[in-house]
Amino acid sequence: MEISWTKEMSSGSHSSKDLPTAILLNILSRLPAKSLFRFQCVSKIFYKLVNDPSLAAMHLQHTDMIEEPPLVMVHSRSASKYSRLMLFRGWKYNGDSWTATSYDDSFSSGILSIETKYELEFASGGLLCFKDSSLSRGPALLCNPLRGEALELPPSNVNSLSRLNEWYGIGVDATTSTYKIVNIVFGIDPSRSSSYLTQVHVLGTSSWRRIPAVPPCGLSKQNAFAYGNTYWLIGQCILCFDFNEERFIWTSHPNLPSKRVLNLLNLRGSLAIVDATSVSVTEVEVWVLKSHDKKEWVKDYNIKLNVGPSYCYEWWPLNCFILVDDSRSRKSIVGVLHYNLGWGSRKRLRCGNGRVEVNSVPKIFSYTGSLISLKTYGNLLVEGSEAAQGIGTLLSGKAT
Amino acid sequence: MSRVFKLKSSDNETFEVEEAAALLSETIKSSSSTEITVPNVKAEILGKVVEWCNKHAESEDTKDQLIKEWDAEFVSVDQHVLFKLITAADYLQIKELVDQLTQRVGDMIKAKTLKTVEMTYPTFNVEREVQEELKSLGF
Repeated sequence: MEISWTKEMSSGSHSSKDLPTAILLNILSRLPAKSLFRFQCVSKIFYKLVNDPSLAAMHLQHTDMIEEPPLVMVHSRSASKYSRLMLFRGWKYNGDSWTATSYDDSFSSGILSIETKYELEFASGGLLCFKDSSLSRGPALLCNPLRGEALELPPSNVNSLSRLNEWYGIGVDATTSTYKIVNIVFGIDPSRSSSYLTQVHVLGTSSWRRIPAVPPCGLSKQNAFAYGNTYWLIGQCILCFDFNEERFIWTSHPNLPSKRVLNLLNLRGSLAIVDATSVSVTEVEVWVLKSHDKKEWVKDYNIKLNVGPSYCYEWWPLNCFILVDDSRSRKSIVGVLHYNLGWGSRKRLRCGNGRVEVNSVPKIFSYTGSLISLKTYGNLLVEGSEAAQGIGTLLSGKAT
Repeated sequence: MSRVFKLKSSDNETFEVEEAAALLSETIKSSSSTEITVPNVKAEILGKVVEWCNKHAESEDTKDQLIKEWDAEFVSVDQHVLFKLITAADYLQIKELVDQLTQRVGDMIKAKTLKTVEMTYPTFNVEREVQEELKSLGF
């Protein structure tokens, strides 16, 4: 495909009209975020294009087509001041062998320290959300590690004393093309009864807006971002928060027998469930919601993996990351196993010394970069401020 | 009785297109007349676009494997033909064709290194931009 372009251009045989910006953005939205970041440095035109606000949203729509393996993160909180966020690099198959790729040179394999009060709530749409799980229940943080940006969400309207539990989710309102965050709070109201309260924040505005819709039951830590909405796995059922209509809807789910170990995630753009209930040998089934409108779930994979007790899974075509329980004596330890489904081989991923002591149930996330520029939505966290220090190492990308 | 649309290229060649194929274009759909002139698009390119529309009007199910293979071959053309096709499809507002063509450009970019892209991608004429910058600085 080597064509000498400059000759074509000067001979005038090529129509001299440049391609319209919308088309250029359409093309760029199909490229991996990492490459787009590099393109920024080529010329002013490229810089303007890469930072065009509509590019981030278009790019999000095409994430499922981009074959860049995700960064896998494991977060668990500890009793000490700092908890660990372990990052594992993705793996790439070049037709011959598997090689570890680092997603971005400064934000790759390593262990980052995050202040324990922050719990990683979701890693969706290219953004990480840390909620403050301490008693003070401060504002949540939204972070785009690829850009090194973090934003503090506005303080909640709900009095922190009455909040018992809360959840966050991110979504895209297609009608207004805006990003929204939903916050569901479970707490005690003035009349001493417990209830749910839902508030929505549109990125770029300065407050939360209470909405009448409330979830029919408590949510879970298992959330996934797909089709522009956030889904929670509650037992066997899936609850969706629709960001266009701002209400909760039950979504169809594959009919699985009860008491299964399930993980909800986004597999190549579609909602998927990994069923990893094991007796002696783990037989893993991956169900994918093939058609959102027809509500059809199809079993895409059925694989036997020989692995002991495990917590949860992250799945990417041909790659499976398993968070396993490696507990020895009285210490709770987790490790991450990577299965190459193409090769049929498995490998224990190294991160620091590979094993991290945990005090709470760890969670595994897969993260794909996004171009969303948080500075267009508000004042970024200033280096040195208390909140920034809490997740400071995540922004600077320095691994310990 | 379906209507027949006439598409005229910039070098004055006319293509007759059946209603089903023609209505894949939003521009044609919202046009009041059945005769549309497509400026800046030569016959060779317009002909290919008409061919795509005809193929896609025939088959209802775009997810069909045969259509996918046909589409893949359709977009495997030289860069300059590809860009001309994009301009035409964009003018005629044929969303699916634009998406297929831009995906092809994206795939081609991914297959090359950054340096090659900067030198072969015509719209991003870095050399010219650098020269203009230098001029404005007084060099």
